[in-house]
Amino acid sequence: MRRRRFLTGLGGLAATGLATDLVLDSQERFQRAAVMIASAPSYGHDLESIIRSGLSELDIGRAEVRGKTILLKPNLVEPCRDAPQVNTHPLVVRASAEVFRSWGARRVLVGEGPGHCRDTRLVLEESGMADVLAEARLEFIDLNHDDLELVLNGLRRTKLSHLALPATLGKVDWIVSLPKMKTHHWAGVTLSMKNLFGVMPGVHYGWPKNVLHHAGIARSILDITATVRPHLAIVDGIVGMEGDGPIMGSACPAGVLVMGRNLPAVDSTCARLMRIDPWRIEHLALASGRLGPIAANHIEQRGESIGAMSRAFGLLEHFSSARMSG
Amino acid sequence: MHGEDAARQAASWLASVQRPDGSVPSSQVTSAPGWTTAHALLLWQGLGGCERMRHRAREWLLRTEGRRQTVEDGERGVAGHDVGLAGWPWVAGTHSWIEPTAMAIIALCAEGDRNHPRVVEGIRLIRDRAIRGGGWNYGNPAVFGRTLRPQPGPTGVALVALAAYGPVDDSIVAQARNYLLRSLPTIHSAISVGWGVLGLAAHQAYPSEADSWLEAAHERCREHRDSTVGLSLLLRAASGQSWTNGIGESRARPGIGAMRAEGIKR
Repeated sequence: MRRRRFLTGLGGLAATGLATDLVLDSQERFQRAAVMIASAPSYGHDLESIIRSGLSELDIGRAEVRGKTILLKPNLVEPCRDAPQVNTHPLVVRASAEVFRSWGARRVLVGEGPGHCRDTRLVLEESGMADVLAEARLEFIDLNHDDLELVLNGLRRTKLSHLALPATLGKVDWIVSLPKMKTHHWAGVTLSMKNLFGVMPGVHYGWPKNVLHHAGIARSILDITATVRPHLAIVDGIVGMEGDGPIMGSACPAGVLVMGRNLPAVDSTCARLMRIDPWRIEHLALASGRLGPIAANHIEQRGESIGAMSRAFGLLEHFSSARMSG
Repeated sequence: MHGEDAARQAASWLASVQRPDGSVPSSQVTSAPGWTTAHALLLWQGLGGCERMRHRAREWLLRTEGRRQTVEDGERGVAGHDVGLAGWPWVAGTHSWIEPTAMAIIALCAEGDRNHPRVVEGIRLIRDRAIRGGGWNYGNPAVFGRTLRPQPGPTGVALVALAAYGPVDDSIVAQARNYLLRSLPTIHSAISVGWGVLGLAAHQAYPSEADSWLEAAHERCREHRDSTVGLSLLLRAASGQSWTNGIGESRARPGIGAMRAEGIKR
């Protein structure tokens, strides 16, 4: 913790405060959520069918999607041509878009505000996303440079009274978080909740979005999730990242797509698939009881079992205590 | 509208949103952050006049610095750079990063502040943040002992800032030049190509192939109607001007006529 606090300015996270939070957060007994784990061995498989079946298992279908404007928010963090484990794979984005289109969505957009690169176009081109967006005729919104709206911070776990958000978020019916399944050297894991750092506009928060680091990464994740209130998550775990994520880690083929409406439930399921204890990931522990359930017995797992699909993602030494036992 | 008329209109608008403290906010929705102040100052300098706004912007820049941090035993390897140096942040109260530091240095050097201690420290910061192997990214050369990847945009703007401070030809500059010469031929994104070529030109390393890089980036840029920043950088790079020449008539090169016409139309 000392090392993390050093760079991020977490400062205010006193041990007693965290203990109080954890007592409160254990009260998630009235919360339940369903999470779908779908086997997807490679990007060459029929991802559209896998996602359609997975969402259907969650009772999401045409009746709910028809007529909606849907924003897909992938994780495009850096321009990397030779490291496919860094960014959400373009074919996962395309397959998700085609599912929503086939169910009658009025419009499907893709939006992202990369945290490490001011030149969003470069990230799109280097990640292969630009070609897929063009082929699939998908409109892209650069959330770093969108018009801004100031909104009240929905949770106030940080000291930030308001959050500046891209105006596009207020113009869509659904926001779908489409992260990569990765370890993260400050946050432990980066999944559907941490992915939402990418909606925060760089023109207001900088590159990197250092304001949120100083406000506290875990607490910022909670505030953003509570304020943006995404409707769905589809996690690209076909090839994830282990070790020194979110940028410099190694590829880790996990062969899964994980889906669900409740983001803490989805992310804690992903953590278990990575053999990481979600209770030892600060933002997940803090989310419990506030934003959703993370306890295994409060999450209804559909599709594949965690036991069959999990594999141990490598962890940096300072997160080694987060490894699930057994 | 003639280009200079449009620029003067933009300068007047920027003056109208300048805050009493001298900063020019990045959005009309909020009063901060003010990293855009250096950009406004460069426009006012280029057009000439605008002394009162320039003075207030310069004072604000000199007062604004990134947060310094302290290093405890064993922590140097976490950050990979000297966290005690201060340049300029994107947002007040946060750490210093490459682009706002470089832009502030470019603007302040053009104001005659080349020897100001803030500029001198900013130059030290830029050099300290250079990535082993060549170039810069947003400002993190390494984390947890792992060297991070350079990017052409920050590399270009850092090279321009070093040139604005004074002629320098050392291994940091040479490695950055080499990185750009390796990476730019395969990149078509306007902002990255524009800054990359400007960085090379600032160190007299404009290669003969650069015109074709700019043309290819311009072709790609035309597909995206929201590419004003990219187009502006391409035009600037194609003009053959250095940043210290101000905004005036540019030296047109064959093959970039379409790009200039497109810029004027917009």
